[in-house]
Amino acid sequence: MPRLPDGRYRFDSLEELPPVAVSLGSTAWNRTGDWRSREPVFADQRPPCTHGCPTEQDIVDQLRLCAQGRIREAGELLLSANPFPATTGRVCPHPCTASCNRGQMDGVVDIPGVEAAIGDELISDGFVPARRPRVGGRVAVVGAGPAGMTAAHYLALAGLEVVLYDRDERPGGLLRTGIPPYRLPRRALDAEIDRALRCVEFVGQRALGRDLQLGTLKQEHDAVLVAVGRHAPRPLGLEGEGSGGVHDGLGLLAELHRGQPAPAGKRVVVIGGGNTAMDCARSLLRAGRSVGVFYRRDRASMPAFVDEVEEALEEGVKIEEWVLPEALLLEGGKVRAIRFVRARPGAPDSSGRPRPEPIPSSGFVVEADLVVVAAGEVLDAGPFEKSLLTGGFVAADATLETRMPGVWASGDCLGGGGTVAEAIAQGRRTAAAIARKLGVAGPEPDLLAARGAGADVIGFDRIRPHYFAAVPAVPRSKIDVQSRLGGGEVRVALAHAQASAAAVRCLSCGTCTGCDNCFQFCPDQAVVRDAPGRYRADVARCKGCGICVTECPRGACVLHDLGENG
Amino acid sequence: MTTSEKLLTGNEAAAWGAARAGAEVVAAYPITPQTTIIETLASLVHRGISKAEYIAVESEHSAMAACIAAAHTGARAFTATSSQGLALMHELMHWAAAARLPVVLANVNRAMAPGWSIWTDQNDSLSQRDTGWIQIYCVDNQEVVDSVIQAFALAARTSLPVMVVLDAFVLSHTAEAVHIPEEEEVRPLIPEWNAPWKIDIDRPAALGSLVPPAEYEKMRKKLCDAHAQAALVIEDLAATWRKRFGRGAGLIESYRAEGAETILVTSATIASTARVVIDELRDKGVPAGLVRVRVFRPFPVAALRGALAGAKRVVVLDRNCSYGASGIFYQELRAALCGVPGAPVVHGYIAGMGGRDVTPLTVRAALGRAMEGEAPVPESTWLSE
Repeated sequence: MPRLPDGRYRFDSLEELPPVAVSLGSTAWNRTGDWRSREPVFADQRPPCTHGCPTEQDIVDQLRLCAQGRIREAGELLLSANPFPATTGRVCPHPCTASCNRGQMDGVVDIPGVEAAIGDELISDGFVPARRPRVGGRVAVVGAGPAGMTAAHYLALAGLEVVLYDRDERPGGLLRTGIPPYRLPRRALDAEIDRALRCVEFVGQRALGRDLQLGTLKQEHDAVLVAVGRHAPRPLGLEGEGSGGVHDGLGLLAELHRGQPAPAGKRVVVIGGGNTAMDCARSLLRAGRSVGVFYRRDRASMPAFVDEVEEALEEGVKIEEWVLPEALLLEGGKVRAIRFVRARPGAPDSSGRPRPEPIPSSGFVVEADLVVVAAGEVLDAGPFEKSLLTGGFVAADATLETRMPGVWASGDCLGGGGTVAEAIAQGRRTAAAIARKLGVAGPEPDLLAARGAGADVIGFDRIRPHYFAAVPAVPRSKIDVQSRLGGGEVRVALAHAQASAAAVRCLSCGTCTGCDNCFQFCPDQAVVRDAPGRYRADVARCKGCGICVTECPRGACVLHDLGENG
Repeated sequence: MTTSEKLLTGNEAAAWGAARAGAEVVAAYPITPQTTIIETLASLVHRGISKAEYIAVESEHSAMAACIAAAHTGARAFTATSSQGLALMHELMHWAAAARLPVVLANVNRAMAPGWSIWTDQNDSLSQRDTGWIQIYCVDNQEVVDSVIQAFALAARTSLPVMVVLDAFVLSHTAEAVHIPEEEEVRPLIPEWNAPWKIDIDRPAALGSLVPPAEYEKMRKKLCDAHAQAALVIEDLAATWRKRFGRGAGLIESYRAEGAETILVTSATIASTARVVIDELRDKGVPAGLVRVRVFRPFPVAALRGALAGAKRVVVLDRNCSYGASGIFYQELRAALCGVPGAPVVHGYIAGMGGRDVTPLTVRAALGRAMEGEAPVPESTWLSE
């Protein structure tokens, strides 16, 4: 069979016909796309981690950059959503990992570990985000907790003039007065606050209602943000709560963190089951006291973070469940013991949890010379006009503007939430709303939408686990109990390489990595690769078979039904 | 046993054959009683004795698909299967042959379900009769290793896929002393496959495209002609083996058939049992002989006509059945002798289905009944009935 110069074969009779049909022509003329009733759309979607995160960080992209060793870039991206990554990486209950799809394979990705490592790296690197040129506009932020500091930070970066007031001498709010150093080392906190408030004028020892009035602030500024938190202790309603040896939890923590010695008392009873209760118990344990936590429901119902409860138990805090305080037993104006009654689960309350119901004649007495009441906090409503409040909290609309136009609110004073991440998220949202109102470019309210991602939350059903080699999660190590009672950080931070190794495990749910699976698997070569990570269907040839969607390991491609007229 | 001999099961022999022939791609899916072929190959790959790319696939259909793709690139492709697995490959068995690809497959004969069985009979491989594959039925483990190596040479020389068949358990799981040829002894016998339809990334082409009827028919005629060519290559390879190793059969094997009045025609391991019976009969002065059909496709019409010329009667013993017709070798042999002047009377018997033992007693019964004048029936006689 003679071969032509262009590689084709020439035959002039059936005898010379090759035994196999080989077509050297193109089949591109065949517009098989006319058959389709469905069409793949290549678009990033929402990973479950971002969906779970109040700050809606672009976690997948952060992890990708970190895995590539581009920690600085990962950090810049992170800071665009959260100015305090070294902090949240340590203190956040990490709802991001709760629905991490890798949890159904070989263990969730250590997102908070990576976040803290990136945060630490940014600190040691001395990185500061760029500020836009100064624009006209002056904003007052009252309350320098995570919500207020976040808003002040982003408004200052937007070029506005920002004054941040706080009742304390130093900024930080609950991060400084509430969270103990063994959970949040002060060098990390201080460095992050310094960076966040670099372009912000901070004025301490100014309390709302005492030194500052909302009306005046409003007149003197283009916008005002109230982020005063909630600090007033919720009393137990027992007689003698003001006696010697009885302390409120947040007040006690604030004193301890200011460097005051712990109040006297060897046998400590902490009443409550939230993070404040755990922080008090563990802080007093570190001061050499014997500590019991008494909670009215069971351990699983405690509002405290699971890690905190576990660590408290490891360290030797005793937890007594299903007990209600009945009376403080005093001697010479000081507490000497406390009487409890046992409880059992009753009908569910408004939170859906069983209401503790006292068991008759089950009373017992616990000797205690220091009682810490940590049964929750309420808003100190003093500085607010009644019309601004609803249900004991500041009321705000969807943009977080209060009923006083030009005044916004963020954080715990709004009620709900209560985590640092939620406060930061609200701070960023409010900053965006205020910037918009003042006509300047503020922080991006939705980072994923800004890079074109859709709103589909990618669950495990969209992941093709067989494309991912098993890489077991490495749990972050903790310092042994004896050493940690010395006061140092409990969890060992991830080193650079460990953070990258943890980040590599990210499945990039709903986020195209340019893996080329769609391109390779398309039987009709109808997936067009424009650039790495940028694909589209050649609609003239795509039959809508959906193989590209089935073979996308991470749900970054969906099949759209074109309907009857497709 | 000489130093170059090893004690090998039939399955190990098949694996060693593929390794020595230089299989470059092995794609396979496990099924009893074939599994130890691909297990042994996996081990040979692991130990570096075979350099093959070993692809674990999710079904036999995919195994054959992978072999077809590999063969298209010119890689020596090998797979192994059995019964239901072979049936699952069926669609692509046609493809491999009509695409004229040199794929080599070892099939361990196993009865088809239901009536679940893992024992031997030939209905699985004979169901692939019309796909265009060459089929070689082995009598012992030595022939397994030799046939697998020859299959690679045969496939490359004819652009036809080759199936090497061995009996479940009788060979697959029974060890015999086997001489494994060295790589350098056999590799030069296996040419590079460079057909014009080999995939060439510098010359993109669509393969298996639409063909008009006249051209299609011509291509099928060429497939058929290739089998005639293959018969010559098989004999050529057999001659090479006899010269180099002093062993081995070609299309058929005759055993004491010269001057025989009665000749038993059978295949695979029944033939080695039959040799004992033929020896007994010859010792008693009964002029009986044996012809073993080693290659079923291409069917060795000329060789059989020659070997059976002069016999009074031929007794075909089939371990298979084409339901509604007869034993398949019986059917084929009658067709081969049809119209031959003075052709012998042909008797057909069926025995050994589903792995039922075929002993010297069984073979003696078949020959005895024919020699005593039992009339042949067109649908074969079931010996156990």
